Amino acid sequence: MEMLTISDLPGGDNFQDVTNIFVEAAAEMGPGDLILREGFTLQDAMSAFEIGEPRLDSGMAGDADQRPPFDIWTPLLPEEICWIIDRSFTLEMLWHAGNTLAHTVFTCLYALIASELHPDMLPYGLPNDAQRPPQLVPVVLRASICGMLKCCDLSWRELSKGHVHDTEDWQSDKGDTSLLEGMSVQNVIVTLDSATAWLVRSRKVPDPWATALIARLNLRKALLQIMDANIFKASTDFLTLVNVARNHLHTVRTYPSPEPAAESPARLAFDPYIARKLNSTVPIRVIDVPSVTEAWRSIDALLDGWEEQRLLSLTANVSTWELVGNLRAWLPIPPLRTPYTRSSTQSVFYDGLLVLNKFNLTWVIDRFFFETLGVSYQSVYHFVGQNYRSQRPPPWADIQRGHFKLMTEYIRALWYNPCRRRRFFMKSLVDLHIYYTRLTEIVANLPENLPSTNVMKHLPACALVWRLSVIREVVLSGFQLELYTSEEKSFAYWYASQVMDAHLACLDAMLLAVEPDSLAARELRFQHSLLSALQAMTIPLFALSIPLMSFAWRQMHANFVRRYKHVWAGDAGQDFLPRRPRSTWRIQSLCNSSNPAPLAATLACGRMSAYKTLPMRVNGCKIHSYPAQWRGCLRLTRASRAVSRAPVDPRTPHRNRRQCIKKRWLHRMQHPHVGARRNPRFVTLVSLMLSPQTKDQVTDTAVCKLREALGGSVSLDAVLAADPAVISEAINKVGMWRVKTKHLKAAAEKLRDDFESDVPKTIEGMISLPGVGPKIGFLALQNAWNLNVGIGVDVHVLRITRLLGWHKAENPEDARISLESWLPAELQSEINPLLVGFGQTICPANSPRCGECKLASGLCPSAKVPKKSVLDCSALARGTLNSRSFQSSYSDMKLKFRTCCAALPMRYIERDRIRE
Amino acid sequence: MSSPAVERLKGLLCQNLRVTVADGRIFIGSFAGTDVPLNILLLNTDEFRLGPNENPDGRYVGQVLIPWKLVMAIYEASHMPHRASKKADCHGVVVSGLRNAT
Repeated sequence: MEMLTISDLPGGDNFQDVTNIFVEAAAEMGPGDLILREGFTLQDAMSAFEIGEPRLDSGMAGDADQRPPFDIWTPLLPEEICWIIDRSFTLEMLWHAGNTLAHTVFTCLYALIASELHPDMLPYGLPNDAQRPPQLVPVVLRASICGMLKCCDLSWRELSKGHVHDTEDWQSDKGDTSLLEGMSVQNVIVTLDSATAWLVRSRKVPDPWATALIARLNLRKALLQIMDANIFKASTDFLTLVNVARNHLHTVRTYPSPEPAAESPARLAFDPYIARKLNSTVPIRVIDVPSVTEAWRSIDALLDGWEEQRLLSLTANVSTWELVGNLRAWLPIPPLRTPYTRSSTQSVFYDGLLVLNKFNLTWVIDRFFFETLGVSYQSVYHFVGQNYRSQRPPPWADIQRGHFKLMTEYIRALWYNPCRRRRFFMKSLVDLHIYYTRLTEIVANLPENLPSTNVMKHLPACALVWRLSVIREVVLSGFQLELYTSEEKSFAYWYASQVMDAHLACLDAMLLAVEPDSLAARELRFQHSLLSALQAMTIPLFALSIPLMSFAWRQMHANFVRRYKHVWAGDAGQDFLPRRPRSTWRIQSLCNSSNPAPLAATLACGRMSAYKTLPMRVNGCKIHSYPAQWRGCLRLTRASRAVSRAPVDPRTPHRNRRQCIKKRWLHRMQHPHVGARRNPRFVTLVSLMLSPQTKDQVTDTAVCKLREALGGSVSLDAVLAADPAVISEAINKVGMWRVKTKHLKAAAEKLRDDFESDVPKTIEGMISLPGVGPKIGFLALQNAWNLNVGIGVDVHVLRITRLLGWHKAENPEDARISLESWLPAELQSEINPLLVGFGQTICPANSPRCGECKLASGLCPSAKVPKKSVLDCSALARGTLNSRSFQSSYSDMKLKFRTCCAALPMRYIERDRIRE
Repeated sequence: MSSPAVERLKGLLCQNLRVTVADGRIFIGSFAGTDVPLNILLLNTDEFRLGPNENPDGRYVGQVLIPWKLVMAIYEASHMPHRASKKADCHGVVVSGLRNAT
């Protein structure tokens, strides 16, 4: 008996037992000794699969070998056949959900022997049982199994195109088993048809099982036809097929198959351990097969996906594609996201050659400008061609190619899995930056006097809004993927709100230029309301999550660098960005500082190259908390100021520079003769020295009178020569005129003696003059020398910034330091005239007109009007949050957002209607 | 110089071994090495099962490690009476005390 077994063993009987050699040698080996063949290392041994280890050994079967043998020809009841078919549908959907074929489809043993299962091979002598017609298995079941395998084959081909990622989205391993690759789709359809015909003709299967089986065969046929169809060639047929499949699916659902009895031979048709016999290295995992209703739901989702693809295939609006892709990613329970659907949707958009099966690369860029700005690429091309001032032609070829690649990949990435999508977005930011710079260069070579209502002025904004939306997606998808630790959340919300703020500012500017009724304007307006709502949600969330924030800045710094590395995307950015090294240096220096606020401010903008200089005194002085929504405040202030003129605007010391110097004095300042440049600077200083405690109109008159009194020109020599009484006489309308006269004379002497008769160029020099403090000093430097070294803080600036809750400083110097610590440098020169004018008109100290003020509704914590349901963000940020009022505001936000979301699909449908 | 028993074991290196294991499977592969607990490393291994429905050509499983507790018996292919020439380019090496060293 023993001999017999051995001679039957694989490899033949020329083997001799050497077990003892092992046992003896082991007894004599020292501890830790290894015997290895030459050239084989311990390292190599690590990669061996360990037999008997369930996680590695794909051949381990446990008790599976004890199962009774499976005979393919066992006759089965019609309901058992139904059950097997249903289960094969479930298994197929499990494969679509990302499991391996060996654990799903191939566990149906009929799938492995589909080719042998032919009616001609039916053995003789099977028991003649009227309830179990022997043809059921080779005709009906075989047709259904063949259909399933062919569907898997077609899906496999789609999935392996590279739009989705093997082993990440799906499993390509076939385990050396056939998916009927050699059988044509037509052939399989004929098989299915003849099975249906047999059921109808033979009448061997009673109803309801005949109907149930026919419905299942028809469903399979329809699915196969859809997968095989070309969506572009026969669009209507495609829709018909989808509807047919839906009808069959409905019938199938109304005829469910019962679970077979425990001893039924149908149960033997499934072996979850089949992978041990297939050439697969994946260890065995027994998958709990869910009930068949899950499968029908998945098939429904597939059909939805096809229907959506058909709609999209008719949609030539790239922004609609973008919207649909985003919508699919945004919804909390994303539908239609099987890898197959994601892959085939990408194939519909771009097949590697043409977009939507008919458009080339010029079309893509044309749509881009048309959908963003409402102008065609041709008109952009001609306009730039006619007005271009550089010798070299604009780099259109590069732009076109870059755009095509970027756009096709971007749209496709919307159908990637969420992690891939985020990673792609982060990588694409570098390319988007290149694109933005190219467009900026083009616009820089256009005439300077282009009004901002001209669309061509906003060419770079097209790339910028694209870029900002990608940054926003990167930040927000981090939440979706649960990447952030609780400490990071607050900053991420805040950053997202800042990115949206920049985006909104950009949209505001574009809306000025775009034709109001155009498609582009509608798109912009939609984006605007969506972003406003989204921003209104992120800010409260930021405020709410502030308590989670860590104050271990060193660790926070490391997190910043890791999370937002895409913002300063490595070395690749340096070639095309002249200012890049400097801004990188700036970020690094900011990161090294102990406070996150300036870094946050920089990151907030998203385009760092715009920031040229470090804000003053980041280290070494107390930095106040970063005010919420300061950009919004500034924007609205600007808007309010633009409506009416403030006394500060016309011909006053501060605005002098803007209004007059720009036109007339500027060229005098640049006059080659030094003396000619000095005088305007001196006049600026004089008028500034006269301005404290005085209304701007009065100062203006005083300067004019002084000019007359001094013989037509306020010059240093004239002041030095003039009698103090003459000066007093001229300026006696201004406040504290006696002191000011004294100061003027003394300052003039000091200028002559210490500063070579010119206005000093440093703040220290300025302050050393009698009657000049930091405020006048900074303003004079700005206006006389165009040096922005600091903010001139006067009563208005101090008061209004305090009202807005930007700081709590009592004196102007503290306020200045606080403001300078976070306000971007290029805004620092603007802030004084802006807020002074605001204080003179809308927000005077004794009677603020909150009713007219645009900041009163939400942004200004000191507003004296009933707040209209908009959240007081700064109050929130300061932690003085009244939970009830917050709840109501928050639900209001949610409502707003929901309305926006609800508008999404509507809009999408509306557009399609327009097309059709 | 190691003991004769270890030398005999080293003589088996690079030979085709047939290992039967507890769950009835049979592995045939080229012997690559072992250690004191007698975990057996085989290269280019095929896995066979006995039974009417099983594939007589086996299943390729590549490089495997079979723990001694599963091993029922080990056989050496002896159909080549003289294997001296093959042994020449396949000297066994004993790495002494490697575990202690690392």
